[in-house]
Amino acid sequence: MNASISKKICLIGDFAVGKTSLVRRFVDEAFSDDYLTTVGVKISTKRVRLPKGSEVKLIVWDIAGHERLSTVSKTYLQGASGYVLVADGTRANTLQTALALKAQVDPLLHEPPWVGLLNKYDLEAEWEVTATQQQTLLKQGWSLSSAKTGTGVEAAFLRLAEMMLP
Amino acid sequence: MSQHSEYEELQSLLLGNNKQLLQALKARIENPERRTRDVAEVLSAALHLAAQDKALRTALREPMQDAIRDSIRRNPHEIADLLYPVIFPAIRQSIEETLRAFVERIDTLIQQRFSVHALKWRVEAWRTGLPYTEVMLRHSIKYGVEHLLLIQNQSGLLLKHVHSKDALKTDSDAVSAMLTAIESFVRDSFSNTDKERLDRITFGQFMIHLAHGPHATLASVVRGLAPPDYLMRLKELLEDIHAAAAIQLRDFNGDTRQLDAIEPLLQRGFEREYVKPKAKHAASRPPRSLIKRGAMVAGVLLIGIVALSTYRHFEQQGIAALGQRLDAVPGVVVENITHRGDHWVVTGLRDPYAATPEQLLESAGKVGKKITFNLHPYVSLDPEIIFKKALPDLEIPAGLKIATESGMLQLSGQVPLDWYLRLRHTLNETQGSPLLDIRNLQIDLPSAERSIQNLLAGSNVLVTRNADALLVTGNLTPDDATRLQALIGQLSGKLSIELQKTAVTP
Repeated sequence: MNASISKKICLIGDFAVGKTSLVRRFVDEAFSDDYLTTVGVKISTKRVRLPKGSEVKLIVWDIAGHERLSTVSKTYLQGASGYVLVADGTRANTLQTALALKAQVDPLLHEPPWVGLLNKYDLEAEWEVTATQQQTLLKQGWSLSSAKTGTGVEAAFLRLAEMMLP
Repeated sequence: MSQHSEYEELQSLLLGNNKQLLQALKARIENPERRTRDVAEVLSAALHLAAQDKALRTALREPMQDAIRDSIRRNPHEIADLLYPVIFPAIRQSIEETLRAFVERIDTLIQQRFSVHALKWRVEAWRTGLPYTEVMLRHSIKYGVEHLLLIQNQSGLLLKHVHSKDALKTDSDAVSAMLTAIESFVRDSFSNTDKERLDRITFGQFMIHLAHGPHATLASVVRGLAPPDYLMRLKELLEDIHAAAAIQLRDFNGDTRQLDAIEPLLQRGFEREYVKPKAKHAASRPPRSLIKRGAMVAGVLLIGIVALSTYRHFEQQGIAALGQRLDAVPGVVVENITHRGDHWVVTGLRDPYAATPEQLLESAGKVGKKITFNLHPYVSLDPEIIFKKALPDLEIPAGLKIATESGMLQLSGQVPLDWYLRLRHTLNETQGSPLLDIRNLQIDLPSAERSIQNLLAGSNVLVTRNADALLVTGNLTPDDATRLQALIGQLSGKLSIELQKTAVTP
């Protein structure tokens, strides 16, 4: 069955937190990664079947990583129904960046549904984000993921889709 | 004081003058006419205010639809009359466009079926593995819309997508988003204002035309080169789409089913124009068939001109030759020969002693035309005519030459013996002619030989030639001997007749 519902979601986070790897792990079709360095965004699509039975097509805008949102990045965010915030567990400062970005995004998109991903869980031993911080973050809507192993990736996107389509 | 009056007193104490006001208001509300007037005064302002809220539209939608439906049912002609100027031109235009496209397509395909192009396309189809019809269609299309993507502004979400049957398959949602991203990227990178928009993107044989509206962008992926006014038509189509579904476009929540109604409208955007081989080089040179026809006509004309010229030439030659031949006839002067209908008219002069028209026709020989003579009589001084007038009983033999000199007719040439004898006889009868000089006249030897042999038929003699003389050998009868002597006398100086071994025997 073809999905008649489509939703735009954005992936935001600091540089090299693994957003593009997450997308590659998750999506059906994608344009070349070159777009990230040229246009500053990479579009991918993914059909998701929700537990309730409905199907949704996610249009994933993977926005090039920056500490702050540029003008063009703000444009790319417009019309998004939700977003995935990504931080690198091995670099604590990327979490700070993610939270700063969230503070910018939320007013722009009128507090949309979102999910946070503490990525690179496969390198848990090297994580700078402490266990205590993790516990707090998990309560706030974050989850752990590994683009390398696929852990937590699909579940995060599904959760976001469910939040967008209550 | 009664209880009632106490109540009224209490009312007047509490309300004072407002009591009258309340009564007036009560009367106003209870009067339906007055109430109607009051509502009418504020109705338009109230509607205007309420229109800003979706609730009024929702509330009015069904009753208005029912009212319109009922109105159409009751008086369909009036509605038809109202819609006539809008609907019929649209239907006519649609039919014309469809037929024109169909006819052009059939025409093009028929023309190209057995062309060199067809062979090339077969090779291309074989090489690329594509169906031949697809290759043929791609090449026969001057330009054609392959995809129409209606995209929500900002979000880049695909609202509706229609594509041609032979269009390349693509993830239209991703394309829609990427086009929006690229448009945003270009605008943010090179422009400071939102008014400047990306109109066209070109790559290879494709061009994407982008028409921008308040809520949505219409992207048309065109193969080939669309006409310059194509973008304007695309914008008009987008305006129509906005007019039909502005709210759905603005409030799109990701459910494309909300926009199913605009799909027929979007289908209108499919344009294509086919290559017309006949007209391909029309501007620069005429079609080959026209050149061929022109060359044929020119050829026929040339041949005709050459044939006519040749005919005229030979005709002129024939006229000239006929003129020369007739002019050579003594006693005849040809002034001109004209062509009239299917015959020639010879105009000139003819001496009555000259050849008759019948004889002239024989002289003219075969000319392939009827000849009519228009000859006036005149007196000819031609020597032959003068001779005929002088000696009308004598025909002119072939070897006789007649000339005039110093007022005399000079006869010369070789003539038969019999003719010479008749001439001498005639001259003797007419006592000779001082105007006739026959000194140079000679007798044709072979004819003399035959004549003398015939003359001496009663004798046993043989007449032979010996140089310029005749030899008579054998036995002569006395009569023949006498005749021979007389002849020898007559021909003295003209013909030498020698007798050799002859004897006169009774």
